[in-house]
Amino acid sequence: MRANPTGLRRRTRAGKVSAAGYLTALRKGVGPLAVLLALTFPFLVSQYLVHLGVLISIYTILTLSLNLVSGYAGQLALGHAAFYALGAYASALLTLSGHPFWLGLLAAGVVAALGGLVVGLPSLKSSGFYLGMITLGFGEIVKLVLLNWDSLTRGPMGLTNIPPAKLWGYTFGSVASFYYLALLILALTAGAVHRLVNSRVGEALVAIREDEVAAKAMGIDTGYHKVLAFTVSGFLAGLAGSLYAHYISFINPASFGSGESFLIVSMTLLGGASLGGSALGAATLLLVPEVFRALADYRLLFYGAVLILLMVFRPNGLIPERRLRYRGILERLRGAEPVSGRDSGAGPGYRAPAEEG
Amino acid sequence: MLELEELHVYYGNVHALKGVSLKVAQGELVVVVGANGAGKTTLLRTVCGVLHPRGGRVSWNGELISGLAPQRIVRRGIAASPDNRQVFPRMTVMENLEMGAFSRRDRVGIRRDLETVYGLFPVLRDRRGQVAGTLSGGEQQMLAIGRALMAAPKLLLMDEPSMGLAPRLVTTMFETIHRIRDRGTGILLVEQNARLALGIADRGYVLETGRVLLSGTGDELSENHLVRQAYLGGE
Repeated sequence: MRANPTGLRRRTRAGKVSAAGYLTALRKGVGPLAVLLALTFPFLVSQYLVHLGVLISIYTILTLSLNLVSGYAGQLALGHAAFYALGAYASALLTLSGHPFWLGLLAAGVVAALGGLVVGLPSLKSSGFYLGMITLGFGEIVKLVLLNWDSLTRGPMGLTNIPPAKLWGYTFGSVASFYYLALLILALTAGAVHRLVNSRVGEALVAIREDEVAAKAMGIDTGYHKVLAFTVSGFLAGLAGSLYAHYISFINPASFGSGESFLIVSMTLLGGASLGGSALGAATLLLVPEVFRALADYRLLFYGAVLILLMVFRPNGLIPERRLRYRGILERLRGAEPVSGRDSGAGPGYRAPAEEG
Repeated sequence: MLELEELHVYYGNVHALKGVSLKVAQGELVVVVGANGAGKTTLLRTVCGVLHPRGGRVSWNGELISGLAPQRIVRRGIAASPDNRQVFPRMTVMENLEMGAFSRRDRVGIRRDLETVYGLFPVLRDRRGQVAGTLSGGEQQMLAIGRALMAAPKLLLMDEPSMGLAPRLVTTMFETIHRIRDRGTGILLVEQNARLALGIADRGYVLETGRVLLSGTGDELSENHLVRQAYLGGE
């Protein structure tokens, strides 16, 4: 990205767009096209593919939420399935005892957010692999509690007959209708994440990731921001859990093991920090096993090979975040003209002497 | 005004500062010289809140600040340029400088201070779009100082600003530090290069194994025979 900072602006006098310009235009076109495709998806393809679309939406929410903690704040979190599980069980238990879906969805977020808070607290004192171990341990503890708290969770048998999602009297009974519900929650999630990472909080998180000691020296309350990232991340993962529970209508602890956590981590690594990247990461890892189904027993071998190749050739993810996941303070404050050094259209007072000469 | 009273700081069981008392008046440039391990960096880390004293107190304009978290101390107007040039390596020079202004919201002031920093360190303006990790050591040092200034501090803590700089740049660096003081920012400077540091100091302290050995004006210390022998290459 740095190689071509001005992108679209690179036009010649005759109005011709350079190759780089075309590429940028193409990139710009992909977004709206993807949205259009996502919206018309159920009308275009088989129910099976729509079903995969629902799963992709749910996993994109999970990927986006993990991205807050791992991508932006740079904290290694290996127990993300725990929040997913907490959300799923909270929502399922509430609706099974007769409460409405919207309450279950909300409770899923809140319960998982509390889980995020609990996991976030150790991040005040530890980081790196140690924090990774703690989050991994938290994931296992949640799973074991779900397995053994028979009276509430029915243990390994799981919860069955979870009622379908129902909002304003409308039941999201069909795969296609549920697809739109998942897409709506995904859109809200993406919007929330976008706002958060482009705020002061986002700046603080990136600073923490880049150098925590220096971040403190900048006056950033690093502890508060780390715990906040974990809490918000937990909330969003909880929403995904609720969606999953009401879509599949059956959950048990086996659905939320450490394998699931690592799947979400892989999707995040694979996709990159952007929304498009998160969706693509989730889609790739969900679809690759389907595509290679014909290979039967060799399927997972190919799955692994695809993962390795992608990490070798796209180490920053399929679609890395364009800016350094950071928006300058001056740029953000309303009314300030862009002053970023990367931008050749900087204000008059901000030109390097070399440019003036 | 910054006031350190009978400060005792430990690393585990190691008694690093053994009752250090020190003052920096408003707008004053105070230098602390001493050999490696004398406790100079410990002193700065205690002031900026990374370390907490086991005994004694740090007060700032009459308010007790020892025990406060670093971010609270920054907000009270004390900014540090860390010893090992902790710039954000993957952010650009510009972004680093903007991070320095994180705790501020006055856009006009931020832009003015950005111009000030570019005035003090013109090379930062030339390199404002460059990723900080690719700057030379000296440039990173300047960036770390510039970033600390972006917090518009009333007191700037500097740890070994001459470390790793080419000799010619060291002189320039001390001239710049003097200019920063002339603009009204108080400075507490910790430095091994005693000759140059004392040359620009209003007052100085000599720290030895966690104790203040001597104190006085910069000139007094430069003339002191003990200092000359120990730190200025003797006569």
